[in-house]
Amino acid sequence: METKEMLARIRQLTKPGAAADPALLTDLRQVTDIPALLEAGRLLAKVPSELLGRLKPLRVAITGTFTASGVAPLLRVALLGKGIAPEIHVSGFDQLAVDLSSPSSPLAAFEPQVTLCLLHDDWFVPSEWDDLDEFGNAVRGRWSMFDNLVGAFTERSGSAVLVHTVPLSPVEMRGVVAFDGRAALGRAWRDLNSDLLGMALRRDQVHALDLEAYLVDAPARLRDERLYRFASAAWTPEVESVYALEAANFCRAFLGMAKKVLALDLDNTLWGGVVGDDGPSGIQIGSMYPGNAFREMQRRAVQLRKQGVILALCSKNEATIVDEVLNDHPDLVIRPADIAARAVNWQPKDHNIRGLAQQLNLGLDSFVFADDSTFETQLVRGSIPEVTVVHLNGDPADHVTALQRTGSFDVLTTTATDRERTQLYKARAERTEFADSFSSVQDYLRSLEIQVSVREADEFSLPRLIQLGQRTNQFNMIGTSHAEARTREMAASDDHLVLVFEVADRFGAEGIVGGVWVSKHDDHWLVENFVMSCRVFTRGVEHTVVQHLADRAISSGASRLEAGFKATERNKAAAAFYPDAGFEPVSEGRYTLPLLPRPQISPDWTNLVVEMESADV
Amino acid sequence: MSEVFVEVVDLVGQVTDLPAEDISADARFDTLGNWTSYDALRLLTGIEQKFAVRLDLQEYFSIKDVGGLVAAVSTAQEKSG
Repeated sequence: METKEMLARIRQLTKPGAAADPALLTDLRQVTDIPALLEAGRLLAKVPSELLGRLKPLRVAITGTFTASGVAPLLRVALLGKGIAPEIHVSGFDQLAVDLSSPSSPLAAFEPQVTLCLLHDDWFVPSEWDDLDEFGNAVRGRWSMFDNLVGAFTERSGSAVLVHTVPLSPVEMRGVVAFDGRAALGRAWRDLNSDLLGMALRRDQVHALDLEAYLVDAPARLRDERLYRFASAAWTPEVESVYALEAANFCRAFLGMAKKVLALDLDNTLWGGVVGDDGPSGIQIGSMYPGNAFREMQRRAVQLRKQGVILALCSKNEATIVDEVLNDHPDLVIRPADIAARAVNWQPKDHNIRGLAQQLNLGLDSFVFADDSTFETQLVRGSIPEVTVVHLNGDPADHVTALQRTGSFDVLTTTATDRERTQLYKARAERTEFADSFSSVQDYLRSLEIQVSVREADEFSLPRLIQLGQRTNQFNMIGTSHAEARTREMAASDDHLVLVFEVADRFGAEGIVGGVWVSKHDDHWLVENFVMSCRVFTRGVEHTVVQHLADRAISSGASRLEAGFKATERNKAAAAFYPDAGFEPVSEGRYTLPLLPRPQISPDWTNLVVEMESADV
Repeated sequence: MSEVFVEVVDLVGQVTDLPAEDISADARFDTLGNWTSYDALRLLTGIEQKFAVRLDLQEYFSIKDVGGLVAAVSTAQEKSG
């Protein structure tokens, strides 16, 4: 049980002389179960923050009109997860008026930097009312008192104050039987919420959180009537959790810790499909699903750019084809002018993100990286823990929500310079050379337990191989594909070998990702073509497959392995492979590799499985 | 030991900071360390979320020991199932 282990780990940290556990906060992000988070937050209050990493301190006071015992622990967990070590003061039940008005209240003595005011409907609703004018006047009177209290408090204390919109209990709403009456009640209530939001616009140190709007998106009941009547708890734990997360985002914005850069993958993130294989006209982007989901993602990315977020690309692709799409594709929303820096190449993505940080001269902790691939997101998470990683692993229509929900870019206000920031950073990026330090991705690859399974193509795998041959343009050694009839002929012939291979790692299996077409000659074997999906490129899979071919050729008595190659506009990614694996060019379009002594091509982090091998004659 | 018992003990352990081994069926709540009505509510919230049940508040507060709570959860589960 992971939650139990996590709580045990935190409990360990509460003991005197405990050793630091800097990975705890990252691991704690996996916990979403609210009772567990409540306990975690309660325990973390006893943990010295230096055991958790380098965190920024913040003094937060919580006061309110009702009992919200879950907000403090949930807020603590959320803040720690954002790199903030809070000192939290919680006022007693219904102390709001005293806290805000008395210069000698315990809250004032605490000297908070941020004061959260938690409000509930019955604090505004008169205990008895008969007509809606009476209701509206009473609510307005209450609000006006609150507004004055907050104004005086901010002037006196210098603390920032976060107010929020207040949802009205359905009990109040259904208490009115006339639809007209409910409409009038709803309007009077929205006037109150509008006034609450207006406080943020009128007063410098006051900010507002539109709780009513956030709750629209949460599977939460407003309150549990039993606990409301028994303990004046006006929010369920789910509502407390929504509030705590958004209040934590506010605190991060308050401390100026908002993320500055959004580094985006391209294939299956900004458009559907793989542009290197499908071609610029074959990618999914446009007005129909799923193209419209990717377009929405682009639209939201550009919206961020207009508010001061710097957009960067981090994609394994050919730069030229990406240029072509960004410049010329009619359905794209994002254009080269929106992008401040690019890392479009075949280098490991953690290396590329470090490079982007250097180019832009910004810290890695100001980066958010969004990618659909488990491989890439886990690599970056493990290699650069400072980067906020968003794994876009669901339906493309849900990608925008996944990106926005982190609240990473939330700031208190935006200014005119925010809109020009891209220009500024673009110039900076162009001046700075990309650093060529090589990062070690090998430890990560070792941890993946990559398994490459090779087998001879059969009736079941041939259709997939033929499709792969036609679709693969990037890792395709001759740029074209053997025709279906020829492939079947070769697969059936003893003088030829057609292999398919699958890749699996600890995140899951990829299925058939490539194949080779080989003709066997007495003294050498010729690899006529080798294709592989670029999803698995740069993990040593291709090396493992060629190692297998070499070993098999050796045992049948061949003395060298030859390979055909034809450069095309698209297969630059594949061009470096044969030389990298130790092959020498012998003539135009032909490489050779001596098999004596046995060449070592395969990396030490892959595991080869050979299925259903027939004898080579 | 029933599954419900094991999970209830886990939650009681979480709320009271006591090791699960030290919590038996006849352990009385009012003798557990630092037991307050606030802890009782935290336990209630945890139990209701974990087992997807709703307990009668008055009955809940009349429960004296862990065994009684396990029985109440089992009854509530049967009703909702």
